[in-house]
Amino acid sequence: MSSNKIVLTSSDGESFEVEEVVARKLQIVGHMLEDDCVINEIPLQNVTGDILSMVIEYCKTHVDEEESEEAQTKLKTWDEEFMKKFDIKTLLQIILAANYLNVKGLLDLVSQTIADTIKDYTPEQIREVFGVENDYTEEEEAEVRKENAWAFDEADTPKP
Amino acid sequence: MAVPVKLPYELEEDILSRLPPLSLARFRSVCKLWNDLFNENRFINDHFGRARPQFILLDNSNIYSIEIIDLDGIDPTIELRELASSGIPYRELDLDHTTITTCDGFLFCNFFVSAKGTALWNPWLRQVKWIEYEDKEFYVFGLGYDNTIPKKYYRIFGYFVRHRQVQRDYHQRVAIYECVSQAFKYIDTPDEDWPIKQATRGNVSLNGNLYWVACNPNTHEYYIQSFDFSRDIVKAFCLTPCRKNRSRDVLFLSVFKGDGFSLLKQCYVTRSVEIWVTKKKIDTSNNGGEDIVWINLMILPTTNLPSLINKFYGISYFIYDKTTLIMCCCDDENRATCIYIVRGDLFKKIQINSGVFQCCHCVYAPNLIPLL
Repeated sequence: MSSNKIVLTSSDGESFEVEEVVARKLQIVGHMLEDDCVINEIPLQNVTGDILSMVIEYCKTHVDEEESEEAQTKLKTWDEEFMKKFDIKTLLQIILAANYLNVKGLLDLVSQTIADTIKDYTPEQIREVFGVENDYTEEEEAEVRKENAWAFDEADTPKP
Repeated sequence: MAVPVKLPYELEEDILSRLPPLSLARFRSVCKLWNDLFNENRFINDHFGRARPQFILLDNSNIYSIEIIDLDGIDPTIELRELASSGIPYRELDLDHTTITTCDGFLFCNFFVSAKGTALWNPWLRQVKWIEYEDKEFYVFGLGYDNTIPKKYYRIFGYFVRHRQVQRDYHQRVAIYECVSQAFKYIDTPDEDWPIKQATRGNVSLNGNLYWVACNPNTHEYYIQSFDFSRDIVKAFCLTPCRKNRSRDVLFLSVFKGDGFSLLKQCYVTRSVEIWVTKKKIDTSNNGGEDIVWINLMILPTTNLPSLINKFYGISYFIYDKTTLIMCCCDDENRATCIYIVRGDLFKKIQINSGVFQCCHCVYAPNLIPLL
């Protein structure tokens, strides 16, 4: 693989020079390179510089995915530490970017991290974070809550 | 960032399908769209496919789930949850005569002798369906269905014990209980000495059929015996890679990655543990397992694991990510139920301290699959 450099530019005009193998981890870039192999500067409209830098950090770390168990374990540990840095709002920005840039591994990782983060949220917190509109009437909502009241009651949960 | 990020629906759905059922039950009140989504078959199947295995425990008065938290991290631990009391398939409970197994996401609790019935149960939907037989002497092994037809008609595999006046002995007669017609069908088994007892605890459901470890008393070879619900026959499915055992070595069968088998063998003398898994998934054609290839996944030479022989409530275990053994069984010293997590140099024993000392247990993938 050549060590050709490619410049990725974010929506807010920040530029990142990365090796082609790293850039190819973004499948959107991979496709562009296949269509026209002489590009060396790629504007990425839907992602800001701060988020793009994190995606690039992920891609650099995952650039050569070794099969060995040791390498896999190391990567897993890295992934976990990497994800710990972000709050829920940043995670949502990253999943959007991973989706747009089409970085499969990152998409999976962030999706699971978001799930782990929100699992104890209340419905109100969920609506706020995900921007979900409550389309229940007051009575309907009360009914659904009543049916699932057991899922709200954490008081009787013993700890090991 | 005052305006919340609005994710495309498919991303939202992907995240939701990774949540435990308890969270989903709570999130039904977020909006109608989500509530409807959690009832869709496609979502339910995706969710089940991704569900992380947990343990379900039954003691004399309660039911608990045990989730393993942070399995990828350096210090995994457990989260014990007492499941809400209504919807629990309890009557009088005699743990010595209770078994709990799973079949495609359902829990199947069998209370023989005392309660005279069997319950199909999904604790996360709080649905229970009782199956009661008129004939009280039916001893149940497990649940299955004919996988060659699209609709799953559940059937219960078990046996009757009859006292024979003339021979002055007890005779076992294998039978199937059809849940739909509520009728028994007797199955002819080739051999009177057929070791049916070996199926009582520790049978495993896969693709609608039941499998368990059996031993040939003549050759001392261990093999996997199965009951094929599409043809109603008991047959030897395949040999295990663990031959020439000492007679008191123990073997435990479990489902690996949802579509294969794992086999855990403990040497009676050294207590060393070997874990084998099938290389490919077990196909649904119900043919024999002649071409099954076993891979030796783990050898745990000197572990602090307890001796697994003669555990009355058996052991439940699963393998996570080809590297980690997670096991539930009772401890040697104080007989309290413990969870063991073993991966490389990591060995963790977590005793369950909520009055749960002795209990039935099984591995279960929590899901939203409604009962029939």
